[in-house]
Amino acid sequence: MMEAQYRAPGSVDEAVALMAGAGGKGRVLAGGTDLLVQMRAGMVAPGLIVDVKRIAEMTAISQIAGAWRVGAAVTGAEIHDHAGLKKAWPGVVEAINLIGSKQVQGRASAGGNLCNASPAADSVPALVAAGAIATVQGPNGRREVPVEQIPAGPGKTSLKPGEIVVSFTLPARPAGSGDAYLRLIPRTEMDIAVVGCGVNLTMKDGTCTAARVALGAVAPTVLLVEGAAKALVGSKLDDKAIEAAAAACRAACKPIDDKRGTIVYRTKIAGVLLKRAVAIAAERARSN
Amino acid sequence: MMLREDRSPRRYEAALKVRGAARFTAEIPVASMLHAALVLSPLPSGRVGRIDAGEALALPGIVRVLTHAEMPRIDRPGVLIPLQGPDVHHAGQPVALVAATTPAAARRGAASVEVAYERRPAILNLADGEPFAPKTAGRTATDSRRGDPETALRQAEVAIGRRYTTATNNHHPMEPQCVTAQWDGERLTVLTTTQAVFAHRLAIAECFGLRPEDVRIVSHYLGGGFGAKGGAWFPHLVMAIAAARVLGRPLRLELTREQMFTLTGRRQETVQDLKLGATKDGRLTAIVHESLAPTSMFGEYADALATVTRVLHACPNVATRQRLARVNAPQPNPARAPGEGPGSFALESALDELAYELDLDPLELRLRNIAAHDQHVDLPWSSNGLRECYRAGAASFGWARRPMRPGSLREGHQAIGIGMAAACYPAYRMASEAAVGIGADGRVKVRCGTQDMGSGTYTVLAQLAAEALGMSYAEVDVELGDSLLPEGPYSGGSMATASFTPAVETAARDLRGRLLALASADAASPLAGIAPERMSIADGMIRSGNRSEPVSELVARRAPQGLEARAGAAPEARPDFSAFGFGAVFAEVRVDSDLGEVRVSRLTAAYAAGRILNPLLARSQFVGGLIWGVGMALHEATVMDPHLGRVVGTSLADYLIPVHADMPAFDIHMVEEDEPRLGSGGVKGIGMLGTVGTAAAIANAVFHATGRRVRDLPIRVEHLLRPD
Ligand SMILES: Cc1cc2nc3c(=O)[nH]c(=O)nc-3n(C[C@H](O)[C@H](O)[C@H](O)COP(=O)(O)OP(=O)(O)OC[C@H]3O[C@@H](n4cnc5c(N)ncnc54)[C@H](O)[C@@H]3O)c2cc1C
Repeated sequence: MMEAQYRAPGSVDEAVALMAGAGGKGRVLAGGTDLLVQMRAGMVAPGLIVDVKRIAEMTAISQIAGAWRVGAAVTGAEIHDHAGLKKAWPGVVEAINLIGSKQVQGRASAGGNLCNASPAADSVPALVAAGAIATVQGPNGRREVPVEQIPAGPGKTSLKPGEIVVSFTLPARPAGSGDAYLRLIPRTEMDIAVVGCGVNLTMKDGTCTAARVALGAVAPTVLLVEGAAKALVGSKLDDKAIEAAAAACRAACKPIDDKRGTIVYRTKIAGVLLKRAVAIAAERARSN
Repeated sequence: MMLREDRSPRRYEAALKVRGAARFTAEIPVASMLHAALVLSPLPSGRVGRIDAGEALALPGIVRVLTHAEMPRIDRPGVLIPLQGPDVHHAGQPVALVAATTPAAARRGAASVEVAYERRPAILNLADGEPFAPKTAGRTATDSRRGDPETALRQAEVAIGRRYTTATNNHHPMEPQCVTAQWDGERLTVLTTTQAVFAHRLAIAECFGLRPEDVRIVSHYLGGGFGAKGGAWFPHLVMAIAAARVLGRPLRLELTREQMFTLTGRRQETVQDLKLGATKDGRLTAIVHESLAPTSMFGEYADALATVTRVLHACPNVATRQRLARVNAPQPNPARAPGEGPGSFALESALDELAYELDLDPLELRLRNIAAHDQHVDLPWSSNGLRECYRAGAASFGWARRPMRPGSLREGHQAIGIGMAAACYPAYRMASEAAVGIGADGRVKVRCGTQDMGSGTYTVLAQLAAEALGMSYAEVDVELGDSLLPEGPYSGGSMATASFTPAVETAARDLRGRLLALASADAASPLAGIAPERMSIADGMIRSGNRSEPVSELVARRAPQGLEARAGAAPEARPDFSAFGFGAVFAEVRVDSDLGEVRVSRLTAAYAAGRILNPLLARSQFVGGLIWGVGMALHEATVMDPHLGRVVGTSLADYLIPVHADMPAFDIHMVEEDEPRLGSGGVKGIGMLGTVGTAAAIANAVFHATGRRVRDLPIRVEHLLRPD
């Protein structure tokens, strides 16, 4: 254990500079609901903590030409209270709001959820299904990365040293779109997903014209299940198409056995959650 | 039952707790104290070799690193006081203690101590141990036998035999165990989280060769205990006290949540074989209940798994048998409804299975087997309200509408099931003293060296004195949690209230008598010359006819130093009756058939547990007990790595307990009982009862919902997946 320095810069440029100066010993702090827990448990010992909650760009929600931009450090509670975002992306909002409890919601961010890189992170399948793009800034400037490319394995991301996720962009939605996220945990709240499933659909005249499906907690990283999307697109979401999508989800699973769930169980449940999430997303698409 | 304001006044210490003014042990600073952190063995079995504290000692704030080489020897058989020798018996056992000027420095120091171990073979699984008969099972005999159960089973018209298992559970009170030990020559003051100020005073005095009166134990507020702050905490308490003596400075040891998985006891896992024999019309003819559970390498503890089996239902032929096997794991100890909780899961599940064999309503089966007396000890009941519990619970729950066939009730994805179980718990008592006094300011003071686990002891002590004296609750002050007070009972076995109630009531009545005699004999009193029998005290006034005087004025005039009466009460040596509290639990569950997810949606429970002193606190106790039952049924399991012998996942993120969102609607009924024969003032004890039978009621409801009989707790989602 060592003493950590704490800085709370006011801009992304400053934060990136601080991270670069820390020579690999820097850690971004958003809500701290993962980081502080891990520090207490002795799992990580950063030399420098860079608190990003004072950076306006990272703590704001805005709309640009139909697309929503959500700062990576915006808390779950703020997202919960944002009527516009909730209307456009109810599945993403629900997923973020499932994290922890009321107290945790007051701190936790989607950026932290993604960068902590747990395979079971609840907001990530919903963001992946939404086709969210992360804006990342590092010593070499800014780049845009699809969210599914950020997790690299349990506790690992593809971010380069010193890179910070600044915000997420959720694309503009065609009419008839809806999304949903469901997870299974053994108790009613405050637990780690055994399986999570995000679905995002666009419907036109009863036919599915676009779909994205993502699964959490069934592989080392959140999975974008293209086979499931293919099975849905072009269909009227009939039983056969949905069963094919569920089968694709089951086939994509590469889970582990642990005390929260067995391989057999997780695989089977992935299909069940897919079906239920499709039903909710389709219902939302119809009323949008 | 109505929660009448006067019988359920506001909790005595509520305002203090809400304001944060109630100081818990770890919040009380002691001048110049040091902080301890522990170095723990990662191995389940071995011998400590060289301990290198060089790096730790070089860190700022580290005062000393103590190992078994520096600690004084303490002779205490049957318990493992850490740092007494080099042998390691379980993973997580302390092997060194780092004393530092701050908790953070101590932790840092502990992380820097290098320990070499010689690894030894370990027994890590119950099945690998050698079964033996423990000397006792809890407070009961290890084995029991009446009639000829083997023959009765062979001849039974219907017989079943099933194996049930329950998981290791940890207690996890909210407040971690903590001790601050302060020596002053041969006198010792110990601030600690204890369920037993007096029992710990005596045991600590014995360990250090002190006179008990030179040891003071203080425990004013507790954030729960559930058994984990009694004997299980004792070895570490003693270790910290010994370390403080070596250091020559006050020392505080506060356990971490992680350490609460290994250092403060556990509910032992069980493997239980239950055989039942019955007639075709549902009369039990035989019960055989055999169980195996682990104990540690150094201690011997067996939960009383068969208590409920021995007495709850009428049956002429009953044999119960308990065996232990030693494993390299932490010492098990009592946890809320020790034995009766897991034991009743097996018995009451088996009863449900028998009901289905017989095609008989499970409640009707139990009604046909109500025990007219305690057949185990062959004594009459002091009272037995079980039939009334069945009636009240079933009526409120709507049991009569339950279809017998499993899988008959559905709502969308959910299969709905309802199940029930019966419960009982012995009415224990121990000796207790108490003092009730009144000052010249008219304020009453109750003093009793028991402790409040958070369950309401302060409140009940104040209520008892107020009622027996005729003063108002708001005028009573309570002192507890200190061994300088009159000797009170420990908080365990649901016996504290039953133990101190008669002492407080006797002391208060004695004080009342003295006050009335004083008034009668005092020429200056308006009540002078009136016989005490013709006076009464109510709302702080002594009255007789149209004459009256405030108690405070009488005391100020005649006893300006105040008056105090002390009394003691002890249980009957050989009562000619058997005393139990009884109950019936009814559960409704909803099982998502595609996910296997189980949620308890309703719990109705009716209890006959003697005199209820405070209905609101009693309800909270029953609800708390039921929640423990939900945890045992659906969530709680301390998972041990079968190869490493370590606990897997040592935080509350891994050890699942029911959270608020898991709470069913609770519907609690208390059957009033008159218990004139109980020397406890009619009090039977209620803390454990709610946990008895509850897991079985839930598992039985799960069977009713799904047709799946789960015999292994906790019930997991995988148990309930519909086959493809
Ligand atoms: C009681 C409790 C319950 C929980 N329940 C859930 C749950 O139900 N579902 C779930 O998914 N999670 C849960 N979590 C985990 C945690 O709350 C979430 O992962 C949360 O989203 C983390 O966000 P944060 O802002 O607190 O992250 P932090 O702890 O601040 O950061 C997490 C990690 O990401 C890094 N980081 C943070 N922001 C950035 C950024 N912008 N750029 C680069 N790196 C960054 C940090 O350096 C750190 O390594 C729970 C945690 C607790 C304590």
